[in-house]
Amino acid sequence: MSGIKIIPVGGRSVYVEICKDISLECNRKVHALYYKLRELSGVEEVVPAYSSLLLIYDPLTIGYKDLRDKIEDLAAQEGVVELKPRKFKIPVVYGGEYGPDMKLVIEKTGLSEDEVIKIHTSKVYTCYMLGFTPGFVYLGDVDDRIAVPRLPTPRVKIPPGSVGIAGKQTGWYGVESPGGWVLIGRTPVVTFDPNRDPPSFIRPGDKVEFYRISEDEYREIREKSMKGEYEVKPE
Amino acid sequence: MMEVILPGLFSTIQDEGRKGYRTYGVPSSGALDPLSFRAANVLVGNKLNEACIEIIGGMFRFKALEDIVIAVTGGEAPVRVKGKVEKGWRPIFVEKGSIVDIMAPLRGFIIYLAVAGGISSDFVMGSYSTYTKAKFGGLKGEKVKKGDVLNLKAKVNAKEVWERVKDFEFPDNKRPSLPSPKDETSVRVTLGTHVDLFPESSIKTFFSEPYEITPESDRMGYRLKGTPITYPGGGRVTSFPLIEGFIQVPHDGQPIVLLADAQTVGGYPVIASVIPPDIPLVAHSRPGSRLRFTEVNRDEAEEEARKWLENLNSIAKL
Repeated sequence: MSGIKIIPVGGRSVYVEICKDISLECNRKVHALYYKLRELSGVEEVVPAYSSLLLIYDPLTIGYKDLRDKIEDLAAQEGVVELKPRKFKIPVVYGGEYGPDMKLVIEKTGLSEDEVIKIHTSKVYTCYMLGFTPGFVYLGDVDDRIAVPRLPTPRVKIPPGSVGIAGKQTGWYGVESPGGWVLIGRTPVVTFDPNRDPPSFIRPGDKVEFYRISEDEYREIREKSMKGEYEVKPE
Repeated sequence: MMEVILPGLFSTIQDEGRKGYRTYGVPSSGALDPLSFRAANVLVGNKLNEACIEIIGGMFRFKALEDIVIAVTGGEAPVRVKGKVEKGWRPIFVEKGSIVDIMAPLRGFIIYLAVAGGISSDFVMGSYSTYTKAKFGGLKGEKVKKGDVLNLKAKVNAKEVWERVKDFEFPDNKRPSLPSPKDETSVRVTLGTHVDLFPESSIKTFFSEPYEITPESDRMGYRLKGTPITYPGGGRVTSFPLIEGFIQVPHDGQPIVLLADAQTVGGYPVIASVIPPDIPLVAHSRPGSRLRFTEVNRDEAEEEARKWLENLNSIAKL
């Protein structure tokens, strides 16, 4: 892997940029490196994002210069670690009160609600990363026909499970938070639970496919999921 | 164990924070001043990482519902027990029924209140720390409120603890340095992840102008105002991971120093990163006070981080 940028910042972290833009190919490299770097001694935490990752280390155990050599070595061994992504099917109720921006998407795209839903559910997405808030799942890439940009003014409060679109990205909120994504639906599944370890069953690199459910199904799954009696198993 | 009468501006249960969950979007949270936090526990004979109350800006009053041993560390805040002035950075025996006042700090801004036996609170992903934005940890993810009754985690005999710890005093030379509220505070940084995006003139501005802390600051980050730091482009880069100490520059050019509760990824370029010993120094600077950034090279930053961790580790051996 040539051309990666390795920048030490703040005395105990290293920023590794694999490439500049968002692409599945680049993201796959990030995840491969992420799983390898986690195993290094002296590395406290590795955080993957779209095209870069951040490594937090203990300078009492390892110095930056050694770390940089190791990062370069591991980055060069591309393909040695084979990622085994799992695939999850996530139920979503679309439109209405659950997807308050569905009207906006219809307006902007000229498609019908059924067409928007069909396009959104017809793709297997890749989880690029989780963050900025706990359990927020970033997926890509969205079909160009429904790639609607973020809202000009973010909402103050968005309920957990809300499924949105932001340009080429789709995904959902793990916890209640502010945010500017265009909301088209909501999943009843509790995907982020602070009392579970790990708190989210989706990991970076996993595959996600959405399927449409009715409001009744939403309520039924919601009730079970809140009680911890509903599990989404990987296929 | 205690009933809260005045909760202060923003008081939460904190420990050393949660490690290893950033991949799931969960920041570390934890004490903004780890050294003072640890010292408070040591002074009352607790384990190093026992849950304490972090009081931002002071003005905390409580009534002891039983005999307890406490210690107050961090900023220099006058402490009164039943009206009598007590010293910080020392254990204090508080009799049942006493009212304890932790006033606004004269220097520094963050205060730790440790109680022998620890404070009972929610343990989530390996930490008691409260993360109010996502409502978990500590007191059901909430800040401390008026009327809250806090309980001890473990039953302790306060008189026995007192006999054991009463002569403890925390050495002056190990305490964190605190900013003076009147002067500008010099904060050491390395260049950041996206320094390439900033023109030379903007970097010069960042290092030569003072930046004032605004009241919109919280545990996620301290928002600064001063001469805008401009850069070309729309103000966003591909979202990348963030940690405390990073200084983001949104498109308005007003920098934000990220702290323990910061979002785990973000899309504003980072011009610089505060080195570990100076992150608490920023946290202890109150709204209205001014920071001035000075650059250290990367080797120096790592060496300072090492020294800081060594000092922190040495606190176990008080």
